[in-house]
Amino acid sequence: MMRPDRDVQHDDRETDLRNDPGPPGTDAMHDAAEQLKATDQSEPFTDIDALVAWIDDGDAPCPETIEKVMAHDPALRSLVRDLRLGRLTPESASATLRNTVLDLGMPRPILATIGRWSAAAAAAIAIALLGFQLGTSAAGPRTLLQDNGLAAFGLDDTTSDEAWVALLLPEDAS
Amino acid sequence: MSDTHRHPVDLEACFTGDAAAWTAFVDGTIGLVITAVRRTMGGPGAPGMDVDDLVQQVYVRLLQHDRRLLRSYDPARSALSTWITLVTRSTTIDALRRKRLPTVHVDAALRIPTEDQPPEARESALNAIPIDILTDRQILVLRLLYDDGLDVTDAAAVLGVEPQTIRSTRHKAMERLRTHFGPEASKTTTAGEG
Repeated sequence: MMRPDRDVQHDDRETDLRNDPGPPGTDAMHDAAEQLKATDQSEPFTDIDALVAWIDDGDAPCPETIEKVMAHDPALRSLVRDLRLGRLTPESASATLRNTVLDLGMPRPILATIGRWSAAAAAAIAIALLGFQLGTSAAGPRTLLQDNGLAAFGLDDTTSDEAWVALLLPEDAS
Repeated sequence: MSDTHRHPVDLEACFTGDAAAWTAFVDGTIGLVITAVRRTMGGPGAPGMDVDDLVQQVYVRLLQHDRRLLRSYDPARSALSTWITLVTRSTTIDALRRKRLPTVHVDAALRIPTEDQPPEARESALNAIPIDILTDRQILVLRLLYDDGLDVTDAAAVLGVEPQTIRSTRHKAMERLRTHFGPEASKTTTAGEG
């Protein structure tokens, strides 16, 4: 990688287009707008391997495909520029973010995983049994006459003319 | 590339789920991941997108499918810092696309800059140049020099060429612009180019 020589900085800044009033007329601008529409809507460069290989090969000239993308993608140009010049400064991460990311990749012991599932299953069974026990103890002794559901009818009524009523109503209602 | 960016991480141990190796990997890369996320987002943040969420997405992607992406890294080809930076960029772009963030229409970015505008607004001056009259390399050189503010030596280092090549490319680009815009434009550019 060639080392930057800061001494020549001002000698080489000959024309500053940022302070240039720009080209006269609006026709050229309209054309530029149309062309940029087509250019900037193209798919971003996705050949990461080629890009990475070139960035780290300090003396290699920039391939045309990468030149083309960098010319129209300021964010990529910014990253590549600072990577090539060794100026990409890492930011500091918050403790919360660091811990979260660390947790993503920490190994999960199989026994611990099984243990969690087993505990959850055992808890579910225990709750079901407890509910059954409570339900059983809360219910008092019941007789057939106390039940007023659909199935509460006497078989001896089935021969009467109103047998169909017994099928639908409690015995005391019929 | 500086060797300080080459992190001594035992990737093989990372693949097997070694906690210490994973901690070293995260500590060696998370700062760059944050930087790359911010750069790709184009500022301190974007509406609806959280930098921390995107950072987590990068590491999730590295770990998915039994660390398939992480295993694809080849230390012989590149520095880990370079690789993780571009993986981060790719992941962030994917996330931004899924979110479909609002974008600035190109016409709005093509307004002629004025002196009282901030530098980032004046960056669009080069956008007013018809791109078909310059080659991609010429556009790139002009953007490195005038949008990004690099000197010739740094621009040469970025592109892997000699400084003289940068000067020559800039000169040819200016010639093309003079030809295209005519004598009126050359009055403004001749003064600065020596």
